[in-house]
Amino acid sequence: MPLLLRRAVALVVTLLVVSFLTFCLTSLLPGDPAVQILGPEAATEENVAAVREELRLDDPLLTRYVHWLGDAVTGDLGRSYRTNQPVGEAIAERLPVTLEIGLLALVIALAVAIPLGTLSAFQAGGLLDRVITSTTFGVLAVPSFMMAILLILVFAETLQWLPATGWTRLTEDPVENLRGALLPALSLAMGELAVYTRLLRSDMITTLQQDSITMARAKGLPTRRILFRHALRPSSFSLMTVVGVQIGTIVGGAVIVETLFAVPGVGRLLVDSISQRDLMMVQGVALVIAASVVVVNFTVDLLYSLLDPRIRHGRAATA
Amino acid sequence: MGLRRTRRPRLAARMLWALVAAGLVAAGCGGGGDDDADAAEPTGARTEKSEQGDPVYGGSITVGLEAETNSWLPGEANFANSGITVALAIYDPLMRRDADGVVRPYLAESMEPNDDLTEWTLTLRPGVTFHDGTPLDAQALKTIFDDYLKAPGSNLAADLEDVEEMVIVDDLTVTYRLARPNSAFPDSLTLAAGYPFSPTAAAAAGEDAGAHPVGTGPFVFESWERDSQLVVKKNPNYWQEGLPYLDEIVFRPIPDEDTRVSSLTSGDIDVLQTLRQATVSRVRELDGVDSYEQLGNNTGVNIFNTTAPPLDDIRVRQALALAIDREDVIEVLGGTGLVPPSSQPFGQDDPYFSEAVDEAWQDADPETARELLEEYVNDPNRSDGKAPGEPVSFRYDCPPDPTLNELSQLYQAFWQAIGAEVELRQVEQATHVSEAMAGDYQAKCFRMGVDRDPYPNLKSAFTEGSAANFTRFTHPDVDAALEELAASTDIDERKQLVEEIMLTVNEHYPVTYSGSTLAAVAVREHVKNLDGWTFPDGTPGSGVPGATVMWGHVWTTE
Amino acid sequence: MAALQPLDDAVVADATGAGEGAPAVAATTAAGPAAGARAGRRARRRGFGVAFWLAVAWLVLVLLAAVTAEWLPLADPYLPDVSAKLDGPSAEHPLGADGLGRDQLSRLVHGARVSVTVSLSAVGIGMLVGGVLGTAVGYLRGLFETVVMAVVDVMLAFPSLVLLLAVLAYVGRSLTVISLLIGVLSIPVYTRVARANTLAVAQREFVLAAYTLGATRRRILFREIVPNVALSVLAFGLVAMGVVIVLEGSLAVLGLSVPAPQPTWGDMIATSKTHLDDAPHAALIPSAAMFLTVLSLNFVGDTLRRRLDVKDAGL
Repeated sequence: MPLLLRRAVALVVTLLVVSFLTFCLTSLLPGDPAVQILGPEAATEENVAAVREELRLDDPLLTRYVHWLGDAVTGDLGRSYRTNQPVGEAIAERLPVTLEIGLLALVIALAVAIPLGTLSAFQAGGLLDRVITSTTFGVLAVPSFMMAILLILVFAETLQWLPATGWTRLTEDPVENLRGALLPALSLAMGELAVYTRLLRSDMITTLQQDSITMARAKGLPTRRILFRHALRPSSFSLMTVVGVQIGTIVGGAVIVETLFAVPGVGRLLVDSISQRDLMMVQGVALVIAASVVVVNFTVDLLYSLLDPRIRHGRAATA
Repeated sequence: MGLRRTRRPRLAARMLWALVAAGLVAAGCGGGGDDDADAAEPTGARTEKSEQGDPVYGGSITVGLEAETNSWLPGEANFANSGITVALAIYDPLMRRDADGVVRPYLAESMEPNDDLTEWTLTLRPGVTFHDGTPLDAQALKTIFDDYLKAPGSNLAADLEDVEEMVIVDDLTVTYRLARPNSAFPDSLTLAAGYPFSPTAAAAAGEDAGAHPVGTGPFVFESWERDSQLVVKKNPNYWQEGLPYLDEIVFRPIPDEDTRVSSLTSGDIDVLQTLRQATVSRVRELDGVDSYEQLGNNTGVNIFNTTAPPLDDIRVRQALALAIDREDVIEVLGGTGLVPPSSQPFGQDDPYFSEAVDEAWQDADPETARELLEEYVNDPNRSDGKAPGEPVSFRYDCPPDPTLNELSQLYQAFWQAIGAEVELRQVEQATHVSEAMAGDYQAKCFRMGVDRDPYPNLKSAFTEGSAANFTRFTHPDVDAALEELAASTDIDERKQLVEEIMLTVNEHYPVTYSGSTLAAVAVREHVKNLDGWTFPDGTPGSGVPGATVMWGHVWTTE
Repeated sequence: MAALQPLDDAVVADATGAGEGAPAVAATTAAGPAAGARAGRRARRRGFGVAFWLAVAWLVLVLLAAVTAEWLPLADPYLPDVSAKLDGPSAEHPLGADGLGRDQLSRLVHGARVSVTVSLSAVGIGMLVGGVLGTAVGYLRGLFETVVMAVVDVMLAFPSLVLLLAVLAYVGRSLTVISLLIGVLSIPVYTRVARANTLAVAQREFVLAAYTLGATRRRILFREIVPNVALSVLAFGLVAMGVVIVLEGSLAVLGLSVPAPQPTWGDMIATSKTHLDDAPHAALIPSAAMFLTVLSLNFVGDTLRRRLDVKDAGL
């Protein structure tokens, strides 16, 4: 399959470029990783030299990159400078957390956006539409950290329905896990659902004017049936595209929300690692993030071409 | 319990805020920020608490920490206060301070110096074993010392630099041989260098030893998910009869101050640890919460690079110091009514706190400050090489954090008011520390803490060649006094020497001070006895210094 | 960048923060010319309505504040007065005071400058570079397109947070650097939007007709395609401007916004969130300003897009 091959090549090239750029960028950062590891009291010259030697920090950049790449190809992403934890293990620990919150947010957002967007389009220009439109615009204008604080205030502090912070593994206690994931997912979902509602609304308005729908109406089919059976599917193209991209970006995590809710996700790992000069960890996380973006984008493209052959010519380019 | 004031309007105000944020209410301003008018209350730790009652066995508590720790293996771990408090559950410190600040054996049975203080002999208690069954004996201590603490790359190597070797005397006795006299040596063993861990377990875990701590402490390490939670379970074979009380402790790092408080309010956590003054005053007002506070030997400071123009000139440094109104700084940090202005790293309750030093430090005097600065500005030979009359300018760095951000803007305003030009820069912690060590800065915000004996701290802060001498300030009088300090065991003499050192240092203004730090452990009332721990012989301990807790002595009534 | 994505957090944090909006817009506006036109027809109305003008008035007010901040008779936004810490609204401080006792009104007005500069320049850069590039590759296609889109894909896959943190730590933070960075990070999105629209427009009847009539490629590009694509990109830009304003708030939380003491809305909110208990107004007032601005931008952008589509449909 030539498409598959081309994509595979693109994936490899992207990963190479991203990992090399990350290597260069993080090496440029001021602040010596060795000093970070030792702490100010212990960072005597000999100690720093010893640590730099051990981590091969004094080798030329390219040598270090090639060395890292050699290990990475065999699946060894090295060990964190800061915690000595294997990078692969750290990512494997955090990825499920980030994915769960991201996907939950997506599900919540879709569950709300689909009815809202459809209703809004059905009554385009009407009172309901205006209320929905201005509310979604309003939600777009609230930074997620404010949304998070608000949710904690209402659901954790006042109502005490959900925990403000904390994470339980799914395998340990599925109910507690869900309770812990709900607030972070909600803070992320709020913004997403606003976008999805807007998207669906505009596509739906278009669909509703198509002949097939007019026909269905003429036949006297119930409105609900027309909306959700006939109009929804052709209207969800944009939505699907965005959702696809959204899935690709989930892996990057959401630093601020993860920090506020004290959730052990990938975003927090990345930021902490950068600020602590844990270059090995940054490298591994960046690689995984880039790979997931490329793979998801590719999958979405592939799905479209399978679902709708027309897309190969025109719109596939958009996704 | 019922004595605690509550402020209901607070909740109403927050709800209003919530509604507006949600976009449901058009506009409107929240209630005014009526500052608490309880300035009459004395500063310092609050002592009022709920009834402690009798010890109860069993139960599990969850503790919210300020930060995660990178590793639990001494030598590899960078223990901040949030890390020490966890370590104290898993490990026992060989030495610990008592209520009077005297260092005494805790896990160790005794610690004796030779006459010239160059050899310290430590005797262990018989029959103590690590959680994995390995006996704690002289050989274990030596293996830890040789293979981990003094190994290249160990972050304790510098601290133990003066210890030339450890010699096994008998099965339970070792001798630390020092290169020079040090009366404060036992103090090194109150922290990470004195947390014995099982050498067999560490060797078996290899590179992963930092994630699988095995100590002798009241609790056995169970599991750790980084940035999420660390669980410890009761040690059934603990060497101290009758301890610990709790069955389980869950430690959870919650870095955001606001959500950590929210978690205590909503009951997600039972214990919260903080070093932030604003948080301390918030938890004091919560219903059903006891706040265990301790004014630590820790103060906010600005450090000046005494080798970088224009701050290499004492007139400039003194001017900058005199421009600062410490009360204003404390108010902005939210510490008004909690902490006193400081003039030394020692808190008022510390034996080394000196009235003389406190009196010698001048209060804000912008007039004199302006004159001093003008004198420098008009000096044809001014050190920064600028033409006379040009204003003094320098850069002030501080890590990004809402509170520190406000703080640095306040300092900038103080200094601009006396005619200096100040550029503010937010730097990440990593850069901040590296620059301070390299002397690649002019002025920075910092903390100065003496969690231990003054000797090692003052030595590393103000002597030539020390990596932690950020200000590059050295003085022959300080060197001489430090040498005497190391050789002295007489507390009055040592106080006198520390006072001399601080007077000399403060005369040269390498640092300026703001206020002491009140560290707090806030608990829901069912958690008891956080500060009531004792040594095995019954001597009262040092409470909750720096918000670190001896968990073996804590119980819950729930 | 986030484009339609409001997940400011995701934007900063996410790997491809820069990618999210792309298809969103591509979808709305690219689907636009073909499909949206009809939507527009339906939404056609005479006049813009009071709400539209209110939104425009607010935006003009913000713009004016940003430009004239220095000449307005306001308190010094940098002068702390610790005794007035977190004071509520009063005659002296109409919108209260912040954690250092500085005048909130004055800081709000001066802070508008940052929001305006960052959003205008970031969107400007993205629109210009990305728009031109996207139109060019969409029209010329071939190897050029393959190369440019490959670069865009790499940019999208690169964790933008790594770039932001690294560059800001290295060159230092300033209004210019931050505006430039956000601008550069948003180029891929605009490239995709412009390309998608170009592809769509190039197949529309009037373009095909122009070909048949023997118009030169240059003429078709500049007379038929560019105007149509520009409109879509512009409409997207207006909405994206709001996203950039919110994004500044998230950067402030991470300590990556314009350095103090320069007031910025994001910094005012991020710093004051600690005081929510005692003085909600300190965080509430800048939040409200940000909220109104983003709301207005979305509203105006949306209204304009509908109007533009109407014009489109008339072709």
